[in-house]
Amino acid sequence: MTQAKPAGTLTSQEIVAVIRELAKRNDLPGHLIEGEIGESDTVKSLGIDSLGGVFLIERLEEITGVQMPDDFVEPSLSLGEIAERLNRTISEQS
Amino acid sequence: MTFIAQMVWTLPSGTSKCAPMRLNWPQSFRFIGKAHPDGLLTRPGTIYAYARAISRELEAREIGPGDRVALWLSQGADQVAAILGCWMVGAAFSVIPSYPSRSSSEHVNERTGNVLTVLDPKAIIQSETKPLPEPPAGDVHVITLTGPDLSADADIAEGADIPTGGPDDLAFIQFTSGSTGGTAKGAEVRFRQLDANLSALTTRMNISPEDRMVTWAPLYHDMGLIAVLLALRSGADLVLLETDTFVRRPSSWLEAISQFQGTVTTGPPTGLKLLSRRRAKDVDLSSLRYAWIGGEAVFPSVLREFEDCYAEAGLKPGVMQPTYGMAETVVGISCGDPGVPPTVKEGFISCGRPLDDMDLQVVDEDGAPVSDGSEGRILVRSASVISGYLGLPRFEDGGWFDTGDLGFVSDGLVFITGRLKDVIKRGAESFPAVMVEAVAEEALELGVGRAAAFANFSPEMGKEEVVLLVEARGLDDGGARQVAASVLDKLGLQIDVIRTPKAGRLPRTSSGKLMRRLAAAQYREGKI
Repeated sequence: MTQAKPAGTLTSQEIVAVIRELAKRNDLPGHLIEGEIGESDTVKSLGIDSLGGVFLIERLEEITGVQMPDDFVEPSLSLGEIAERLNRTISEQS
Repeated sequence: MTFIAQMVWTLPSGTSKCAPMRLNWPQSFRFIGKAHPDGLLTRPGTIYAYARAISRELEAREIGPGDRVALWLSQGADQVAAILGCWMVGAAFSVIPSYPSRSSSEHVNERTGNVLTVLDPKAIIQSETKPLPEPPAGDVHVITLTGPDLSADADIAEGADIPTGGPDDLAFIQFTSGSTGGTAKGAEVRFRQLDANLSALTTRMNISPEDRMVTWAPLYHDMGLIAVLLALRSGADLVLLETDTFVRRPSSWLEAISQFQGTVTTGPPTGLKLLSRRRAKDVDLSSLRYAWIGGEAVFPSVLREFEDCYAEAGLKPGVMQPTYGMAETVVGISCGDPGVPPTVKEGFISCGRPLDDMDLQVVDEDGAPVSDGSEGRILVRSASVISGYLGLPRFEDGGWFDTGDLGFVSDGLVFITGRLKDVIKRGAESFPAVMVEAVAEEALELGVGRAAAFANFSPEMGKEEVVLLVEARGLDDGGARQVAASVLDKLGLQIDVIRTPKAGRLPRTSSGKLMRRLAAAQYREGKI
């Protein structure tokens, strides 16, 4: 499992890795374990619902050590936008 | 939290006369929502005056005994007053499911339209802040509420009569997701059945005027509605959160329990799962003595994780109580005794003993009772069981009601192990399997009957795994994602697993009808 990462940046590919990890733990849909996932894919297009979104937020918080609001992962956001938002939050809180 | 006044029922003319159902005013209501994040403390007299004002609006439109009124409301004060206002004129109400922010607006409108068609109400009560997305078709009165007059404080001690129907009159219509064709079915709950179930639940949970109920479950859900009525039944104070408040910030539930020293609460396992992952900070749950957990399957790991997470916050063992029930029994079938931790057997958790007035038996495929500890189909018989659905043939009087659930009884405790009816549950919302299959077939341009959707009860994962099998040749990960996204968009349901058996591998009857249960069994056995 990915360990806590010091405040810095997180790429969309690293977010993809977190999504795959959560899919393997049955927290996110199984079809996200493999196959291509790109930074333009949105949370909704990946088939992740609001409950799945909370699992993703919780894991990202654990990795980065920064606090995120409950609605941080909105369905319409792409993974690239989540990375941008996340890194902005990291820099604001560091 | 003391008893103030009993609502005395006087019967409108033309209704049956029998002993009235007892309801008791709490000392206070507190409504938490977007407009009042810290809670709007409201006197019973204010709610009573608001309900009277609503009843006058209904009377002005000649709505009375035997009529049905749809409620499209999100704020607690509006909801409680509208329920009482309907009962004051002898009308039955139905809280319309609003499916908040989970599925596409097109689909919400479709489902709402479906419910309203079945209900055929004479009036719709909506709020000024959140009116119906589409005006109702036909000759339906629309009453728009603007909130309570907080300066109004009717003298409920001397004039609290709430005229309403007799035991055989309709109290409300609770909509359930139809498992056949996805058509909404309205469970007709009569005062006699409501009285029986509230009485049995109050006794089992030992709820009294000393309690304070904290709930956010939507009132279109049987558990959410009955949580409110349980408070009114027992005279317990009521802290009612708008469902959206919980959806936007789940910790608001536990913060409300902590801040207002809630003693009784309700919620689904999904809520526990969320709050175990994202721990609410600085909450004190030591006041809590009974948490009524239901609305979807409860798994031991979910409960254990939550209890471990909040033990330091003062959560005591035996507070979290998995329960079992459904709209067809008003809500409750079985639940645990206060303070007694549930038992785990064969990976499943006990949902307490059947309620005191509930006969329950587990039968095999031939309808013969099975031995203690053996799995089978659960049947119930009780004064709480409804007599039928709106507009459909009535159930056999006093007969056994087939719950469509699988389970076993061991040492008097009920364990739920699966579901025979073709409904999938996630986050306490129900989704007819056929509806999920239709969306998948449309997304993949498949013929009817080429998809099978079902829930796989998985104690190991601590959840109902939502499975979709599609006979789609060459479906890659991208295609699977497309189907999952389509189901999520249209229905608000996350698909956990997609499998693509070869054409003709889904089991069917000789006439070509999909055998969904057999497909689910084959999936569980690893044959698909």
